[in-house]
Amino acid sequence: MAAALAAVLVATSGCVTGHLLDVGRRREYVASVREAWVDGDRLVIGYDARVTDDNGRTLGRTPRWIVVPLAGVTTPATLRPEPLRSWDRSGRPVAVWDGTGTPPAPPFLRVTPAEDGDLLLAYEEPADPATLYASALTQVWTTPWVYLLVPFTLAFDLVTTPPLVAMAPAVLVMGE
Amino acid sequence: MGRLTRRDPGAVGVATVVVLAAALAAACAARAPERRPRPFDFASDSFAFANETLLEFHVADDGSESWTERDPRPAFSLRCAPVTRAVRQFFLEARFAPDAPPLDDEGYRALVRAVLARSPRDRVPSADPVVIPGYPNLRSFSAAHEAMLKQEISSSWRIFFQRANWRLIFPFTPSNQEATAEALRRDVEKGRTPIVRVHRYPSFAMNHALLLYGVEDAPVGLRFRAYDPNDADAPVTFEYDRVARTFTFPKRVYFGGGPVKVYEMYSGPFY
Repeated sequence: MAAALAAVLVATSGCVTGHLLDVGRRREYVASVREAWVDGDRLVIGYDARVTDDNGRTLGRTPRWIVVPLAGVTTPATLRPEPLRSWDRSGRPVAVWDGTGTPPAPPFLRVTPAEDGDLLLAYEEPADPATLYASALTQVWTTPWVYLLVPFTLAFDLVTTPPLVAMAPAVLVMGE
Repeated sequence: MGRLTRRDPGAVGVATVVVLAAALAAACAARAPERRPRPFDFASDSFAFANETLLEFHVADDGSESWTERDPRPAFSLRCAPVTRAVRQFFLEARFAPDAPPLDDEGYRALVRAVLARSPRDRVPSADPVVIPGYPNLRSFSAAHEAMLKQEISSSWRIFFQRANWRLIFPFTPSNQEATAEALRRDVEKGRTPIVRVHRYPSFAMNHALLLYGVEDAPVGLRFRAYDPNDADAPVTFEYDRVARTFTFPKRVYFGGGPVKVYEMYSGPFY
C-alpha cells in the first residue's frame, strides 16, 4: 500500500486538480477582424479567434463577436469588452481596412500589425482615431468538462497531497 | 495617575502595555531605512560566461518544432539557478576595487567562496561587502577567472535541491500570476532584483531562472527586463499580459516561446 502510494506520488506531479484546471484553460486571441459595426456608443467587432491551451498551443479558430464601448477604446487597461454569442448586424456597418491601398471613407476600423505580433485596431472617424490593441480583447475561460472531473481529482488530492506536504520540511531543510 | 502598588494590578497591566508599546514604537522608529541597491547594469553586473543548454530548439520552415542534443555536450550546463543566484550575490554582497592590488588565484577563490556563502535571500546591499581587488566589475572578473567561478558555482550538491521547488506541485492560477506580476513590479520599481523561476511544470519544455532588474508598461500589461544566465551577451525581455493573465516568454535557443508560469525564488524562508 505504501509502495503504491509512493509510486503514485512520484507519477502525479503534485496537485492533480490544479493541473486539470490548467489543462482545461483556454485563451482566445484576436487573429483577424472580419467586420465591425457601430451601435450607438458601442463598437461591435466580428473577429476570428485563435484558441489556445494554457501552454499557448493553437487548438483551432472560431468566429467571435465582442462589444467595446467607444468611450473606453483609448484606455485598454480599464477596458471591459463584452463577448457576444451572436450579433444580428443591427446598427451601422463600418469598413475594415488593413492599411494598404486607399483608405475607405470614414468612419472605418483600421487593423494593422503591431509590435510582438499583436494587432492594432484604430476606429477612425473624421475626428482623432481611437486605438486599441487586439490583445485587450483576449478571452480566458475553462472548458466545462474539467468540472465534471474535479470531484474525483479533489478526492485523489485529499489522499496524495498530505504526504507531499509532509515531505516539505525535508525539502526546506535540504534545499538551497 | 495614581501611584502603582501591588493592590493595583489593572494599572500595572496598563502601564506594562504602554511601556511595551512605547518600546516597540521606538524600535520601529529607530530601524534604519532599507538600503536601496544601485541600478543593476547588465554590462558590468553579469557574468562574462553563460550557462549552456543541453538541448537546442529548432523551428523548421513548415513550422514544426524539434529539439536536438548539443554535440559535444557542454561542460557547464543545468546551472541556471545557481548562476542567477551567484550574480545577485555578487551584486549585493561584493564590492569591486579596481585600484587595489590584485590577489593570486587562491586569494580570489577564497573571496568567491565568501560571496557565495552569504545568504542568497538577501534583498538589499550588504553593509559589509566582500571586497574584490584588481577588477572594476563582475563582468571583467568573471572573464579573467571563468574556470574557477564555474567550479565554485557548481561545487555544492545543494544546488540540485532548490528550496522553492516544492511550489511547483501546486497550481498557478491566473489570479496567482496576476498577483505575482504586480508584486514583482513593485519590487523591481524599488530597485530590488528578484529571482524568478519560469516554467511550464509538469511539462519540462521550460524550467529556467532569471534575475529581474527592469520593468515598464506594455500595451496591455508589463514588460520585464531580465538577466538570462543562458545568454551572456544581452538581457531578455518578457511580458505579463493583464488581459490574458499570463506571462509570455519570447522564443530563445532553448524555448519555442509562449505562455509560462512564474514565481519568485530565493525569497523568504520557504522559497
